[in-house]
This record gives sequence, structure tokens and C-alpha cells, in this order.
Amino acid sequence: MQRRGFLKLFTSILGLGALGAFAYPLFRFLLPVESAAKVKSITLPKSEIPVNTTKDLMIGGTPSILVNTKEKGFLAFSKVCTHLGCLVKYDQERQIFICPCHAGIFDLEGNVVSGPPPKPLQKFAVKVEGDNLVIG
Amino acid sequence: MLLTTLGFCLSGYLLPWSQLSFWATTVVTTIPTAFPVIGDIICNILRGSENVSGATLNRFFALHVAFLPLLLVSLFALHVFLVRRVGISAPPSGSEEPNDWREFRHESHPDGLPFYPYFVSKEVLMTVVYLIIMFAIISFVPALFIPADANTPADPFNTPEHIRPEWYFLAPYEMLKLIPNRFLGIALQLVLVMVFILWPFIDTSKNYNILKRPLLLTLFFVTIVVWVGITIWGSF
Ligand code: FES
Repeated sequence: MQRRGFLKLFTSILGLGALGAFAYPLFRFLLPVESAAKVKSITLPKSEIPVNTTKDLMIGGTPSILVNTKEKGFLAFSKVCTHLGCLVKYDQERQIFICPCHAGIFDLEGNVVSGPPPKPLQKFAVKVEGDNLVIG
Repeated sequence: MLLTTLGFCLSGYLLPWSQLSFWATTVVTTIPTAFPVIGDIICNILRGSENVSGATLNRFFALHVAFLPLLLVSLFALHVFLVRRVGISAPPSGSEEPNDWREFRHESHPDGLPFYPYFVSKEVLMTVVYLIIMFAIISFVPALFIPADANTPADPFNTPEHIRPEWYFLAPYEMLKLIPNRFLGIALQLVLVMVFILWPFIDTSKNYNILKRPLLLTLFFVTIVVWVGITIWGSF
């Protein structure tokens, strides 16, 4: 191999190495971190949520709300608004969920009543097992 | 450069890790999810995790202090290069002959003022005045431009009531609220931005005087009026 060719090859390899040494940590940095193992369902004593009260929960890594109403019993929803991810608040009096960000409103079934959210709130199954509730 | 400056505003906004900044970042990083397929990937890369978290803070900090300054300096260099290469626009009242305004010709105009030292010294003076005012505010009245809410620490389980962005983001915020389709609302804003970025390539009129370019003038004023109108609407 000619001296010139060798030098070209050598500097190219060095350059690529330097680029890799810079790009690899950057790539690692940009890679989303794995979230911790998620709790898929939650068991709670029924007595913790009397009628007309709510409880905030974390189901599968999602901030959620459990509502106990006189008419419909126990209902559980993700609090994450389907528009742009703010957390909805429950209005006890009007029995609706209101999103404070762009005024999206959902009914007690999680369906969109008004505002920009494109789809209903994610609903979780609630099972009554004796004195306990299993949510999710 | 304007968009990069807005990028600075956005990435810097998260750094105090307050309620306002946390939820503004949640909304902004959810915006890409309106686009099918790549939306979720972009959202995850921006956040660095499923939700806005410490990983997001790391990324936004890196963006704010390393990537965006580099980008801005590069754009600034490109801007100066283009001013030298293509020339500058004539002021609206300027000459019909655009070339008159495009370059400093020392040979044909020996009485003209060169950039250095005349304009450089003026710019240095303005920079010093700006720094004096800025450091005075930072040292003596640091809370002057900071709303009270900005001191509430971030709570990922509670979105504050009546959350609203800063005034310069009120128009996009209100448009997202008004346009029922999330994809349309976001796509429309992107198209508007692209039209302005690509305008020099769309409208290739040789006339440098904006008053003699009716299409650009109309578009400019309509956009400003609509923008200001929506911003005011969004503030109520
Ligand atoms: S985030 Fe809920 S309405 Fe926009």
C-alpha cells in the first residue's frame, strides 16, 4: 500500500472512530428510558370510597381516578385528557370531567361532551370482589 | 432564527420545574402524537420517557444550553453570509433600484461609513446597555417578569386550573382550542410557518420594496391582524 493511501485510510478510520465516540453517547442519551414495571391492577377496600367521593390512583403508570356515584356505582378512568395530555378534574356537582387546558369536557361514561378532545377517556374495568374493588 | 428563539423559550420554560412549566411541556410534547406513525416516536424522544420526567428535564437542559445556542450561532453566521452574498432589502421608502441598497461599495462611495468601527461600536454600546439593564433586574428585582404561579413546584398528578401559556404562545394555544380536529389544528399552524419560511422561494418578485408587493403586504397584514386577534381572544 502507498504511504498516501495508508494515511488516508488511517485518518478516515480515526475520524470515524471519533465520530462514533461522539455519536454513541448522544444516541444513548436520546434513547427513551425504560419505565419501571407497571402495576396493571389495583385492589382497594370498598370502604375507602364512600358514595359521591373520588380517589386518585396510579394504574399501569397512568394517573387515574375512581369515582363512586349513587346512580352508576364505581367507575374508573384515566385522568389523561385525550387531547394533549393534561389531567382532567372531576366536577362532583355536574358529574363531568373537565380538562383545565383547553376546556375539554367528558361525561360520566368518559365520552366527549364538548371541546377539542378527539376520543373518550380511557376506562378501566372495576370488579367488586367481596369487600374489595379490583380496578384495571 | 425566530423559531430557534421560540425553541429557547420553550426549552428554558421547563427548567424551573414549576407547575406551569411541567404542564406546558406536557402539552407541547404531546402535540406530535397528532401525527400518525412517527408522532409517538417523536414524543418519546422529546420526553425521554413515557411522561414528562427527569429525563425530559435533562434533554431540555441540553437543548437549551448546548444544541440551540449552536444552532442560533450557525443561523446567525448564515444570515451574515447571505447579507454579504445577496444583499439586504431596501426600506419601504427606498430606492426603486434595489442594487443601490445591496452592498457597501467603498470605491464608488468613498464617503460612506464602513461597518467597522462605526456600526460595531454602536452595537457594542447597545449590548452594554442591555447587559446593564438585564443584570440590574436579575440582581435587584428577579421576580419582575415572573408570574406568582411560576414558583409552584411541579406536581405531575395535578394540572392547575385555568392553565395558559405565555403571551407569545397564546395564538397557537387558542387555535388548538378552537379547531376541533387536533391533527388539523396542528397541521394548519405548521403550514403557516412553512409558508413564511418558504416565502422567498414562492414569491420571487425582483422588487425589494414591500409596499410594491401587494400579495406579500396583504398576507403580512392579514396574518398580523389574525394573530393579534387570536392572541387577545386567548387571553380571556
Ligand atoms: S389537553 Fe385536555 S382539552 Fe386540551
